Amino acid sequence: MITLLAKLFKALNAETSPWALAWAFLLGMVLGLTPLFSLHNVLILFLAFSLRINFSGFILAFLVFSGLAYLLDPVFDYIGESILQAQALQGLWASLYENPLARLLQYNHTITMGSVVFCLVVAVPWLFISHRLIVAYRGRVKAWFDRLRFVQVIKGTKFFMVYQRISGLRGGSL
Amino acid sequence: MNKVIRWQGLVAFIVIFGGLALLMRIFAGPLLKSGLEFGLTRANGAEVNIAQVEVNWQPFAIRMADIQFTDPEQPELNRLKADTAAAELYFWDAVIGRIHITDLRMTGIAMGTERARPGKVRADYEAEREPRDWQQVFADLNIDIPSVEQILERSEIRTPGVIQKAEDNFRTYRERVEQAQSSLPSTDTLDRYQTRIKEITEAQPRTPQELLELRNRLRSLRDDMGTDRDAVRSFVNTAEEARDVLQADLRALREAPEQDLQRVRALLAFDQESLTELSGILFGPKVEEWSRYALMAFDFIGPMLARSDDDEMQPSRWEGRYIDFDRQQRPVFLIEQALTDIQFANTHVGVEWSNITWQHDRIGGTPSTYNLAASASEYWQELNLAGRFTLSDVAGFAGNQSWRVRGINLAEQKLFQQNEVAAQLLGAMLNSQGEVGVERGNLSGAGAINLADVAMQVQGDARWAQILNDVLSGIRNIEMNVGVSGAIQAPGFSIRTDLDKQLQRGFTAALTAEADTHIAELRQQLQAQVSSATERLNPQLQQVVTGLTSGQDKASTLNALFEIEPDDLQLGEKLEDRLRGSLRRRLGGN
Repeated sequence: MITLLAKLFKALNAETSPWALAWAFLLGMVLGLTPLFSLHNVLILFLAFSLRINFSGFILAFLVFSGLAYLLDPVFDYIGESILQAQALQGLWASLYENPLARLLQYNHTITMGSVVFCLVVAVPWLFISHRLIVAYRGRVKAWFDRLRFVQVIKGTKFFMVYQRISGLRGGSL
Repeated sequence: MNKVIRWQGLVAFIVIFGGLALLMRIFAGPLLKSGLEFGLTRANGAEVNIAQVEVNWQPFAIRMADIQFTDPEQPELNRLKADTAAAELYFWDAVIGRIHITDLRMTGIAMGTERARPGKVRADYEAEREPRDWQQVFADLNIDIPSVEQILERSEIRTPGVIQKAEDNFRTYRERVEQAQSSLPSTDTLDRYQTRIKEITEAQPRTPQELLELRNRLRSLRDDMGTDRDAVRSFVNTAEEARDVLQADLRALREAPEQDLQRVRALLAFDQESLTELSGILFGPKVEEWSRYALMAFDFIGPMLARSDDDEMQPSRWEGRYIDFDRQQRPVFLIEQALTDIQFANTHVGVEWSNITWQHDRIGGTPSTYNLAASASEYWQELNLAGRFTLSDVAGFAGNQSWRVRGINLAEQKLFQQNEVAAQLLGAMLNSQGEVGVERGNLSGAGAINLADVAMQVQGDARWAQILNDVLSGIRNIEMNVGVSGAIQAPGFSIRTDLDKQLQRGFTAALTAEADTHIAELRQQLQAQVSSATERLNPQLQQVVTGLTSGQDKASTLNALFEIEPDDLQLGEKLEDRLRGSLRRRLGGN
């Protein structure tokens, strides 16, 4: 876990593209917020494996959003129930019900539907927010951050040693 | 392109997921076997074993071999066993959780077969009924057939007591009668009373003074007779009471030996209650086994009921729910056609099923049906079983089943074995028919079982076992009524049979024959005692009766004397005329 966090910090501070990190956060969010064993998550994993996004960021985002999902499940259930019960969409849902692929995607499951729609709605804002945050971190926050007292303390910890080792190997710097 | 795509990652993804898909394809059988065993064990409440599962992809079909469902009540037995089960189904329907089997074939189905090793029962299994432990019932019954000596000891022979009571009564009443007799007036006294009455009644009083004097004499005489009349009345009452009591005692005395013998015979006759248990012990387990064959269809239907209940579970907001958008209202589970081959009495019988589902509303209310009709064979003459059921939101689970079997040749089989006693059915011809209805998941119905040409054998050193063997060897026909009730997954059986009465008659006859000599001796002894007592007591009764007759004579004599009242005495005729004339003159009349 420490190694993983160290890698994330390295990515945040190194030359890794902010978009690569932002996309990793986005895909991790989708994987974490939606039910894990769903067909659409195979697509998410495919993208995470095959696109040049930061994999550490992806996994950390997945872990954080998985924890958050436990709290949000009733909200997703409410959203999914509302969407699936919407009168205007009944024809669509009924036709999809006869489609094996749609059924494998579990579109008729309230939490799956609610969480996927939630992710789709927040995906674009979250992508740009992530990007802005990373850029801001590298530009201003990092300098301010380095001056903080507790950061000085952290620099004397095992975590920092691991981080330094990784940075040294890959040629990164704090 | 290389800036966007990570080729190593793409390859890794393909390798991982492709490998997983390949493994699933290769090991589909074992994976499905594990999944089915796990799921079916949960549903069954005890270990379910499937020896092998094969998956055929084109056309999509599953074939299972040696399927065994452990009976949670008796883990050493299988509740249900099938040699093979093969189903053809629609793949994509199955993928989305809709099981639509076009054709199902099961062979070698048998109930109550022994397992190679006892199956494991789930810790959370809860028995829906307490199975009747016939072995324990047998132990509790503690059959004990007493010897004739024991019976005679137990039978409380009452004749000597009756003789003693009669003799006591005779003694008591003789004293009382003799005492009353001593106060009786003598014949001379009565003669004197008659003479005095005659003198008074024949006298002709001439004056009123004479009349008054006569009347006073009569009153004095009546006073004298009154004491004697009371003594005679007291004697007659005592003698009558003595006669009645003693006659009753003598009557009881004469009847006492026969009543004693009847009591002995009653003790020789067996207790009906305990014999009810005995017939249950002999046939209970077998009848339950036969009944399970008759109700085997419900073993297939039971899990569907459970599945139907699952559908009604409330969804959780933390787990979500699947919403059904099936506008075509197709059932989630449907077996269009099935053929199950049941192993019975070393032969096989086919049962045809149609439209098996728990969503009959979705197939237009068409009921699920099953039908077994076997033509005559060396094992039976006629075998018919038919049933239909529907499961709907409105009516719940409803259905019925009827059966009719004729001339089933039952081969030699063990009925019961415990300790050193073993009961065997050597052979019999079984006929049975009945009907069972189902309403809201509960069974109710009854069937009749007739066993003809019965041959049974009981082996054991116990005396009762030998007697039972003699009794059973004389029984050729047994009628049984089997009641079925309770939940469909755990039906309860009750047995009523005429075997109890037959056993009772047989046991009684066997014991009575054994006791005949003793009973004859007892009869002789009692008769001798009674004859002796009767000879002694009869003359005494005659004495009482004779004395009573004499007392009654005296009582009637005295009563006749008491009929003349003092006012009956009148003046003589001349004096009366003179007094009448004197009275006229004084009054101045004519």
